[in-house]
Amino acid sequence: MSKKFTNIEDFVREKLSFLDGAPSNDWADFERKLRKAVLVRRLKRVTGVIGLLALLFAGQQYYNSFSDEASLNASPTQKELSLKSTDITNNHYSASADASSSTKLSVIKSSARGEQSLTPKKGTTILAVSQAKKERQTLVSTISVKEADQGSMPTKSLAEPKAEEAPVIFEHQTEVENINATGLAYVDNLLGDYQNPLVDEKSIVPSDGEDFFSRISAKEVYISPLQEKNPWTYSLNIYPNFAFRKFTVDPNKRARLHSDFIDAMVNSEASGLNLNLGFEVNKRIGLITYVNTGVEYIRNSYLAEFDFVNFRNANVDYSTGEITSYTMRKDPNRIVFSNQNSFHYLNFPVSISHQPWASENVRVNLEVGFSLLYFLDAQGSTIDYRSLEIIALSQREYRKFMGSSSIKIGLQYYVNQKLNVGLEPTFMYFTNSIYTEEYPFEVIPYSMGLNVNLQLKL
Amino acid sequence: MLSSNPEHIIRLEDLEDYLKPKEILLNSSEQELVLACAKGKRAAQKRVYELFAGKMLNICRRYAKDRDHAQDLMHDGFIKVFLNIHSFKGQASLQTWITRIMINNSISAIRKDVRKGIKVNLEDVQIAEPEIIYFELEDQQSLSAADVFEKINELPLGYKTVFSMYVLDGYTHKEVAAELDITEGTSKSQLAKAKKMLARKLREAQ
Repeated sequence: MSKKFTNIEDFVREKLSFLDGAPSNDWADFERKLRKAVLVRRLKRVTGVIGLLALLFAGQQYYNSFSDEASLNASPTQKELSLKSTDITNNHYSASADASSSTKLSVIKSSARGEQSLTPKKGTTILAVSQAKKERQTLVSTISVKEADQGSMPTKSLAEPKAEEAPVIFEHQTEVENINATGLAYVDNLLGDYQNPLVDEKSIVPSDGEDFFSRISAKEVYISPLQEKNPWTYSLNIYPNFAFRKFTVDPNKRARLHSDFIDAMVNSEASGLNLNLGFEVNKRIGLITYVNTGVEYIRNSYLAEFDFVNFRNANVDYSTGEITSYTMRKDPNRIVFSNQNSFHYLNFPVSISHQPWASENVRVNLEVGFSLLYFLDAQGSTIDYRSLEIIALSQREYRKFMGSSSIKIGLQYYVNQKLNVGLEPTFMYFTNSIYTEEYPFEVIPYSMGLNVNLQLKL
Repeated sequence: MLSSNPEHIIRLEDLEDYLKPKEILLNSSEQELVLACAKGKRAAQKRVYELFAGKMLNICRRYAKDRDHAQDLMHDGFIKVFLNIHSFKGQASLQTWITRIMINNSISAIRKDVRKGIKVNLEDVQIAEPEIIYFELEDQQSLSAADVFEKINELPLGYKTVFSMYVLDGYTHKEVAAELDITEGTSKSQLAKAKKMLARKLREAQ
C-alpha cells in the first residue's frame, strides 16, 4: 500500500531517512590532510608560546628601560622646575619650584667669589641634585648648566635639601636649562660618593634624542656573575622534544615489501616523543659564545599503529629475500595493531652557541652542532614488512652509529643563575638512518622538533 | 619468518595471544573510540572516519557545489572533529555531534563564498504572499532515496542550501537568515522556489 504525500518536505525527509552513505575509501587522502592540520596546530602553538616569551621579554626590556628613565628623568612637576634669571643686571639667579611639587630645588649657595667652587669643565655638567627630603628615593632631578662664564662654577651640592632654602641666589651669570628626558649627563666624581641606587651606570647612554631601541642596543652584553666568575659551566639537561620521520619506499627495494603493507607503514611510526637526559659542559670562548659538549641519553618513543587489510600472501624467494609473487587469500584479513615502541641511544654532541641578545633573565640562543648517536637498544614490536608477522624490534638489525648535524634557535629564561628553562625549535639532519641497507624504506634523514629543556648549572 | 604459508598470517582472534597489544579497536564502543581519538590514535580516528564518512559526505553534498567540493568540506569537517574531539562530552551521540560540525562547517564555507562575492543564488526576492505549491506524490518504489537525494543536489546552490537547512537540518527561517547573512524574506522565497523546482523534478522522475 503506497503512502500519499502532499507535503514535499515530509516526502523528502522520509525518503532521505533511508539514505545510506556509501563507504568511504579515501582515508589516505584525509589522513594526509589531518597530519598537516595537526602539524599546523602544533606550529601555531609553538609560535604562540615563542611569541608570548618574546612579548614577555620585550615587556621586561621596556619596563627596565622605563624604570631607568623614570629614575633619571624628573616627574612632570619636576620638569617644570627651572632656574630663572631674575636679575641679570645684578648677576643674580634665583631658583624657583612649582609650589605643588613636593620636590624642592636645593642648591647650595655659591658665589662668584669662588667659595667651595670646583674647576669648571667644558660642556655640560651637573649643577645640583635635588631630592625631596620626605619623598621616596626615586625622585631625582638633574639640571644641566651651560657655562656662560667659564671663570667660575657653582658648587656641587650633596647636602640634604631643605624646603625653606629656595629660592637661592647666584652671584655670577649662568645660563640654566632643563635637560630633556633622555639627555642625561653624567659627570665623573662630581657627585662624589653619591650613587643613585636606581641608575645602572652601564645603561646610561649620553644620547640626546636617541630612541628606546637604540638605547637597548647600546647596552653592554649581559654576562651573569656565574659566567663572569668561571668560563666553565656544567649542567644537567632534561628535555622532551617531538620528532618526525617520513618513510618512503626505496624503489630498488620494493620487492622486499609486502604490497598490502606499504601504505600502512608509510602512515605509521611517523612521529614520536624524544626524552633527552644529559650532562653538558660549556666553555665560554667569547663574550657571548660558548662551546658545548657532553653526553646524553635519548629515548625515542613512538606509537606503532597499523590498520590494514591483508588481501594476499607473499611468496618469497629465500635466496634473494624478495617477494616473487602473491597468492590471493580467500578471506581478506584485517590487521589492527598498536604498540608503544622505543629506541634508546647515547648521544655525544658538540656545538657552538651564540647569544646575540640577552638580558638578565632572557637570552636568545643560536646553536649549531654535530653529534654522534650510539644505538643502545630497541624495545617493542612491529609488523614485519615482508611476512606481516608481528616481530620484536630487537630482531631487526640496526646501525650502531648515526651522525647528525643540528641547528637550534631558541629562548632561554633564567629563573635564577643556576636554573633556566629553554624553548628551542630544533632542526636536525641525520647523515644516515638507524636502519641498515636491508631496510626497504628510505627514512627522510631529518627531524624537526621543539626542545623544551630544563637546565641546571652545577 | 619469511614464508608464504597462510599459517603465518596474523589472525585477529590470535592477536591478543601473540603479544601484549595495546589497542584492538575493531569492536570498540563509541566512548572508547572517542577516548582513543582524543589521544590521537590513528587507528581509532580511521575507525570513526570509516563509520561516519559516508553519511557525512551526503550531508556535505547538500551544501556543496559538486562531489569534490563535498569531499573537501567533509575532510575539513573531520579535521575539526578530530582536533576538537576532546570537547565532545557525550551529551548527544557522536554521530549527532559530527553531523552538527559538518553542517556548521559547510554553512561557514558557503558564507565565506558569499563574502568573497561568489554568487550562490541567494537573490533577495520577496514574495507577497505564501506561494501554494501543488505537490502530490506517492511513495513509489521507483523513486529511491538516492534518486530524491540526487534531485536535491541538482537544485541551484542557493535553493539547495536553504532547503537543506530548513527542511532537513531543522533551522528556522530566522536562523537561516542569520547564518547566511540574508533576510528572512529571502530565506522564505528561496525555500519556496526550491520546493517548487524539486517538486517538478520529482514529478518528472516518476
